Amino acid sequence: MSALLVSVSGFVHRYADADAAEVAAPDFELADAGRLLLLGPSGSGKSTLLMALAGLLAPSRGSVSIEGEDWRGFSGAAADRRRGRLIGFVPQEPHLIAGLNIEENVRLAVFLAGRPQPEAGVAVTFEALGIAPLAGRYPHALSRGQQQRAALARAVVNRPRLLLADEPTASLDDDACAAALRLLFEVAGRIGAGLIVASHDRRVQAHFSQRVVLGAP
Amino acid sequence: MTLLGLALRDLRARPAQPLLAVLLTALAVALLSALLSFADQFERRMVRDAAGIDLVVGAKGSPLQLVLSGVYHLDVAPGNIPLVEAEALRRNRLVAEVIPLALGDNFRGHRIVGAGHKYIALYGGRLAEGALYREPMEAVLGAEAARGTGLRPGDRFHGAHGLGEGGHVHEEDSYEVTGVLAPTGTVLDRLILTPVESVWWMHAGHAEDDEAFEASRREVTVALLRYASPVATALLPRQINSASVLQAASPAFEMARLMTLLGAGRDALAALAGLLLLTAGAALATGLTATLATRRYELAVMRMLGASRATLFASVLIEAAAIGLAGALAGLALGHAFLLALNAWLASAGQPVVAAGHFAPWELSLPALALLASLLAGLWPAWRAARNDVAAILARG
Repeated sequence: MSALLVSVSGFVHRYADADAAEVAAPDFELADAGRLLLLGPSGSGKSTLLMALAGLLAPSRGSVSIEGEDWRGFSGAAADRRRGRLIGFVPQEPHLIAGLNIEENVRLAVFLAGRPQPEAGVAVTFEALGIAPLAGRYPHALSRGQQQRAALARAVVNRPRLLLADEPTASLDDDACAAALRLLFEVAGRIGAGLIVASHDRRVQAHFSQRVVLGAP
Repeated sequence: MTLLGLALRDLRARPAQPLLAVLLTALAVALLSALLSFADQFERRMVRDAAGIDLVVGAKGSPLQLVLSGVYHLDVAPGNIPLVEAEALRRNRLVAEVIPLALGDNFRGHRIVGAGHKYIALYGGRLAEGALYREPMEAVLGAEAARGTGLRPGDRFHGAHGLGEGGHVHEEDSYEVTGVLAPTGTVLDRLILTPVESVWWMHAGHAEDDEAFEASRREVTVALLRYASPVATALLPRQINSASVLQAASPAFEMARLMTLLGAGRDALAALAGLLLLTAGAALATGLTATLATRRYELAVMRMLGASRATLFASVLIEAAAIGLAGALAGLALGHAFLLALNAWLASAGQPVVAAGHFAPWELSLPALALLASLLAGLWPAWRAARNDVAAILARG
């Protein structure tokens, strides 16, 4: 039986802004190396839940645990170190750092996580994602698809235990949508990481057997 | 990869933003650098030129004018004094040494000074070539005077009346250059030296011509004195000023007075530089804050990748420091380039030159000052970067 990677219980978050709606999520768990889809319309709190899973947001109520430990048990630098070690994040927009080339963008993740990777590890990531020829190029010189791959390389280079992806198929056609998901599954599988994808894209549903549906705001 | 490397790469990617701050910092540092270097050289030169001279004695008038003309050769003397009065000072038990100087002519802006060999010895002058003068109308040139006029031993030249260029040229008599002195770094370098008799010869007529050359009518311009004992400091100036037609002025006192007067101008320029540095700091803070708006996703992603708030705080401060240091180094280069230009201009005017490569002791603290200012200016943007609501930024995509 697989070990438990993620456990969310009684999650409620209320933003300080009085006009903002309360975000609530049903309880769920994710096994080691499992795949889960957070489905819901815009504003339903998918991204809020992703941030809580990454330990960047403390819910108003409930608990969010990774590898059996609630994020509430970690604060400040300890939480940052844990995030760098456990979490890989693929944002909706690549947000690569403009002043760094692709290799430097990926190595930045290694540097910030404080977990030195062997040269081979970085090279393997580049090879696996087919971006080795782009290593010396700067973000502005890449297509959006290439930037997405670079962002994915940055997310997985530290071999995280949990990979979070926020709307990875937004504004992609059907073929590109399927290819993006294939790539996420392949990469997560290769490093043995759990995968949680937040999406409002109904096309994605068929690819996940485990889904958590968040309600409309 | 290091935070410094990250900061430098980020600045390289957005060069326009820090440029204004670098420029303003450079201007402030350049102004302070040139000011400090010039002031330091000026003060050192003043001290060096007056070393070994305790008192200047000359005609009644402005004491500062007397010191400027007699020691630094920068002004016109208040008048001449009878040689006998100057010679009488030798008999004063408070006086160890008297060096009379006779002034009045120049050659291409370089003053011709009638003086004995003791005057050359006072500044440690040594011959670079040729020999010292022995007879009237022989001359020895200081190093800068030789370079400026192109004269060599054996050459002849005509002096001109007055202490600057453009005076009446004494066509009837010429000086013969017998030697050139090695550089001393003192006022001696700019002068043309000749026996006192040469100056009398040029202005009072020839000895065999008439009685104007009689001892009783001989005059000198100033006499430089060295005290025999510390007691003279208190007694001798008062004694001379009250009991004779002469005026005594202390170079140390007069230069301290001059420095106080010049100090107001120097302080005003330093205040202007301080204002520029403040403006640079404001430009830096504004620029960094504006950049944070465009970098907020990058910074949020860095947090997601494991960067702590302290790391983001440090990375912005390092950028600020890099801008400050770049401005400081550019400013030092600019300040000394200005001194180089000033040097060329002063040299062409026959004025004391400043060394462009001279760094005043305080000047070396300017990069630290610029660094401090830039760090202070970077505090607010760095704090904002560290306190960004990462979850809200990333959740918005």
